[in-house]
Amino acid sequence: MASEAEQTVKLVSSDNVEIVTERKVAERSMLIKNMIEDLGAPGEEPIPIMNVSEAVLRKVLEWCTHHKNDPAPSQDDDADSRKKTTDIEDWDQKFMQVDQEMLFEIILAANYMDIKALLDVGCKTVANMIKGKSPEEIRKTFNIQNDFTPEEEDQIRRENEWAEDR
Amino acid sequence: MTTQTNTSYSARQQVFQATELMEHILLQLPWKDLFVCQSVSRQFRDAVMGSTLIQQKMFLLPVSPAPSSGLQICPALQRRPNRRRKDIFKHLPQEPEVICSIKPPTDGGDLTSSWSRLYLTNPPVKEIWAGLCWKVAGEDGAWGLGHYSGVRPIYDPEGFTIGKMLHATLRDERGRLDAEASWFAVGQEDEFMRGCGKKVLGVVEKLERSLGAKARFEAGTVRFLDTSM
Repeated sequence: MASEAEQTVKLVSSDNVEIVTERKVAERSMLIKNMIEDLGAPGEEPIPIMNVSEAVLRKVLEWCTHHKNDPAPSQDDDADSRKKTTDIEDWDQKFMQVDQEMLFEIILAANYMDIKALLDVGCKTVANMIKGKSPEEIRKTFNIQNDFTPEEEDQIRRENEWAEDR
Repeated sequence: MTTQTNTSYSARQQVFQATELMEHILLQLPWKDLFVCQSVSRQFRDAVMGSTLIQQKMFLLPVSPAPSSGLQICPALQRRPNRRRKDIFKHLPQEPEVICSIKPPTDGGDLTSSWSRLYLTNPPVKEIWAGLCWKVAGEDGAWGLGHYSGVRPIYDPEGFTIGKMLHATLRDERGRLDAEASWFAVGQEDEFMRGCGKKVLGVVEKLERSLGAKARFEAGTVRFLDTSM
């Protein structure tokens, strides 16, 4: 049997494309890690990643490859990541320079595949797109419909307009 | 490439509809942006209002029990060095632990706004020493003489919000506003004062009539006694 470092696994995307990757890379995903542990024999059975298309899966694996040697997340990470709000390391920032649909696809995939660090980077990227903007600018950025009645909008706006004073 | 069958909704819509993911995103935002983004859409409003964690981060809901990080001071308050304005605190039984001041925002900082519902600290303090400070503007618009009300202890069993603190201090100050009318008047930020109740409004209008000068509410100075909750 190959040593753990050389082992590969076969992943199958939602659009039925097989992708072979290093086990260590794939195990950044807790979903895959748990599946491998349950299946017992990595490399033989292809692992279906049901909700993720090939394009998104390749992108996610690109991130996992770059971060394959990162230390495993500890229990304290939750509190830590909340404090450092919007700082993202350079490589991740470049990685996230994709069209908006892909950005949200990555967030969905990271959530489904249980890759906490990637989910954090994705959410921070979206937060950075909201930060410092007016409600109208936020709507434009994400193509969101203003679905308030005029009365509702007036009320919520009046209650919070003090915060728009920057 | 084949199109996915389950994407009648875009990925963006799926993320914004998922309560957990929306909360995760919003928790990355700075404090002030959380108030602004409520006006985007119902989805954003509901995400902000429906999350205890977000409401606590905004200082709109109390944290309990106290987090290990200790007492957090609301970002609407400015921390002041304790050595300043010793004269104001000379009647206190002991040196203040923390001194903060609050400036009402230029727009919308009245008692119907979310600003007035902010807790001064989290967990909320129940007992503080508070006072008001006005500055008087001369004809040329420059701020001149100041007036300070002096600090006194006030208590609220549910913990102080900015609104409750202002209510308590303005109520206490009403008599003095009348008595020392020659010292100051209101104008520039009187909208704020008007939000504070009819009784104060009466005093304010009287002052406006009797003086031509402009003054503004400047700060409430706060001392925390109860930090051990």
